[in-house]
Amino acid sequence: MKKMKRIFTCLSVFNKRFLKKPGFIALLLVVPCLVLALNIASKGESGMVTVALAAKDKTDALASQIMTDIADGSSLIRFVECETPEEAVKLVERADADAAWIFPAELAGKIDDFVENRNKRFSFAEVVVREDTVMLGLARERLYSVLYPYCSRALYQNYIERNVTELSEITEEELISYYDEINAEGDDLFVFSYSDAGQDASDAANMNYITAPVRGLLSLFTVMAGFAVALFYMQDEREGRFVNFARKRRFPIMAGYYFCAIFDVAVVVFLSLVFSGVFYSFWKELLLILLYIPLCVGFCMLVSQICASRRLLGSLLPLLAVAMIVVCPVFFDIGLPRVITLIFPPTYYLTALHNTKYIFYMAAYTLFLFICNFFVYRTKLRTNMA
Amino acid sequence: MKKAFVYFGLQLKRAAKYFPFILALSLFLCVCLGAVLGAVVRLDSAAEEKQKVTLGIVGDTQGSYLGFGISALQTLDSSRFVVEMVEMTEEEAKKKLENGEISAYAVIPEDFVDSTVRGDIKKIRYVTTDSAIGVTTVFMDEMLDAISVMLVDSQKGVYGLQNAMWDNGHIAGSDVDKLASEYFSLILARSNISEQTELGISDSLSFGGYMFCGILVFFVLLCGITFCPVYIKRDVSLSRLMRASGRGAFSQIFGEYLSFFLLMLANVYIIVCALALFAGEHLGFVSELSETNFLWAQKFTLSLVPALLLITAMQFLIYEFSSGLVGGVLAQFLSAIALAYVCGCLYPINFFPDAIKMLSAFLPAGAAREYVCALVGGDVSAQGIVKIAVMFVLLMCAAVLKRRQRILHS
Repeated sequence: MKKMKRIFTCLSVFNKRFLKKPGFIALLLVVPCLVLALNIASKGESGMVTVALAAKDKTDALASQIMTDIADGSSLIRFVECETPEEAVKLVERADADAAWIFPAELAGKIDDFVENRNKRFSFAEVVVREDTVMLGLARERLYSVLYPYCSRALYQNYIERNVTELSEITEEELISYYDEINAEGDDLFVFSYSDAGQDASDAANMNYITAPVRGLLSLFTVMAGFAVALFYMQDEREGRFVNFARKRRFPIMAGYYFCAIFDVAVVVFLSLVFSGVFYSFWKELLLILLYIPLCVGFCMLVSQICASRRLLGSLLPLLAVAMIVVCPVFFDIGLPRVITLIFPPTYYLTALHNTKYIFYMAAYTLFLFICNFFVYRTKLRTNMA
Repeated sequence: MKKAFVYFGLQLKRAAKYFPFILALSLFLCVCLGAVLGAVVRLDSAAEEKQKVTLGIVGDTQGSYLGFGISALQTLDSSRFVVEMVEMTEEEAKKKLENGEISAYAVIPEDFVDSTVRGDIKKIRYVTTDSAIGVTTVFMDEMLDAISVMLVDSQKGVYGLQNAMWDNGHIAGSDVDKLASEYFSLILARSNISEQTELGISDSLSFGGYMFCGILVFFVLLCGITFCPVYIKRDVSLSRLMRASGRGAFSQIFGEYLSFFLLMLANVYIIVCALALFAGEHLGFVSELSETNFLWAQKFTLSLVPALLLITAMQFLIYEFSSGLVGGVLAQFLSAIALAYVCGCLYPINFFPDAIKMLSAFLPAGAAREYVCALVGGDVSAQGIVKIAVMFVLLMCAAVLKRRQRILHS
């Protein structure tokens, strides 16, 4: 009991040291504000590619309808309607838009022509781009998907009219009613789900791509806080602040020291997630962040024990930050083997959200890290390096 | 002024002790960022040989229109440059998804074809992992929307004809098969709907060129972390002593900042030289850097000075405001990552809403990124340089005022 009390006193003293620093407090307050600001700003109109839309004949009802359909409901492509085709091309030339889609006059007639002569290159919609990219390829798929229902209906009607003599007595309305009667379960043929069957993935497709990396960035911030604490610990150790503790018993002191600062940062990360628009569920998030704290403690302690010098660790920090940004699925998954991605704590935190298995992996990796830490610590003691 | 230069010399000596470490790691960091740049540019390139997303297909597709459709998509359709489809069992797919070998898999319901014949199109389950959530998921959602429309509308045509034939007492045979193949041909020919004209990148940057500029600025931002142990002052007793001996806040800031800037410049210079000498031929994915050489490196580094001045001034101000190492490192990291993200160093700035675009133009990282982009694109304007100069002066004034305040109130 006495020992426990001593440990808590130590922890509260360590925590006080961090919380007395106005810079540290200010920084912790800034994080949720930044996340909230990003969440608000992300609600504005945005897109990974900008496409300028224009019709050669502004009075063509079908062209207007198609332009409205195209502009409706894409979260990745931003559409700008232009008065004239020239204006749309100018936007592309000035790099204000990535592509321009220009629709010809008498679009309805062109649809029938295309269905009849589909294997010829057709000037049905004129596309002007600066350089072709995957995103623009995706944007074109949207163009085709908006035009396809018109083409499909035209093909159905034309085919029956020309080739199916048995149905020549049926009226056009009746034919169309057969076409419309085929029932799909809603508009989407695909339904999203996670590999963890118990998880609902309806949120996945509706995610805002601007706030999507926030969770990953916050998890990186927690690890970087751990490294900053490591630098601070090394400085304190050099200045002899732990001389009251026997060298052999300094391991829990070191862990407690890291724990206090990372705990403070984790509280702020948790709050920031609430404001971020990517918060999942309270208990799941709480469990994850509680498991993430010891994981970060173990990881940062191990790296700092191996580095052993402030200079080396300080120089390594940008490299570690970049490594985590690239290896962990923060911005994009570049398809590295899972074994490599599992070295860094953010992978567990990000993956465990929708894959329960990773919660156990996270606990196991934490245990492994603490065993390694203890081993390194003992080795350094034996070799008189601690 | 002479005193200021003496102090600058001492600061330079102190900081230079760290330089070999910083340089070695900067070179390594540069290689890593170069690899990232290559990967990002290649991911976005529309080159035919690159398949971007591997999708597992689970379910019995043999001997049905569906199987024929999938193999037709993989051999004939333009989507094969974006998505590669591989048929597998659900267990295999789960394992591959966990190992990151596939991005997602689609589970086709057992009675998918039969139910479609009855006029009910069942939903296909698209299984993903949260590690792929983000841009990839939103990207796939757009793709799947487009595929949904094409498949559903084609089925409407084929099974609409079939039902019409049955209801009117006819046998739905070869006509339905022929219409189905017409629909396949319509889907495969959909790219003929549009005629594409490529204007070329003209006076603006290619995607690779843009990302090179963004990553260069991000690199300089990150380097601010490495100098934290040198420039963060926990106590200002030395500064007070210097002030008493006639070296005020301005003189101190001048000496410290200049040493910091020169080390950063040396760091960037060596990296740009290494890039020009050894990586020139590997930078083919950045069309603007196709003719790099040693001379180019000298000119380019010199031209980078305004951007470096601005970023280092901002980093120096953060050092000045940091009272301890923990807060300092975190503030440098947070400013690097947040500014790089918001100012379009990690994603093109056009991806963001107008509010963020406007804000980024007035942030040091945004102004520096704009300047570097203009430099690489050969379009540097006097207005851009004036903007950088004004921001630099403001940041340095803030640093001097903060030092003065710390000296007076410590």
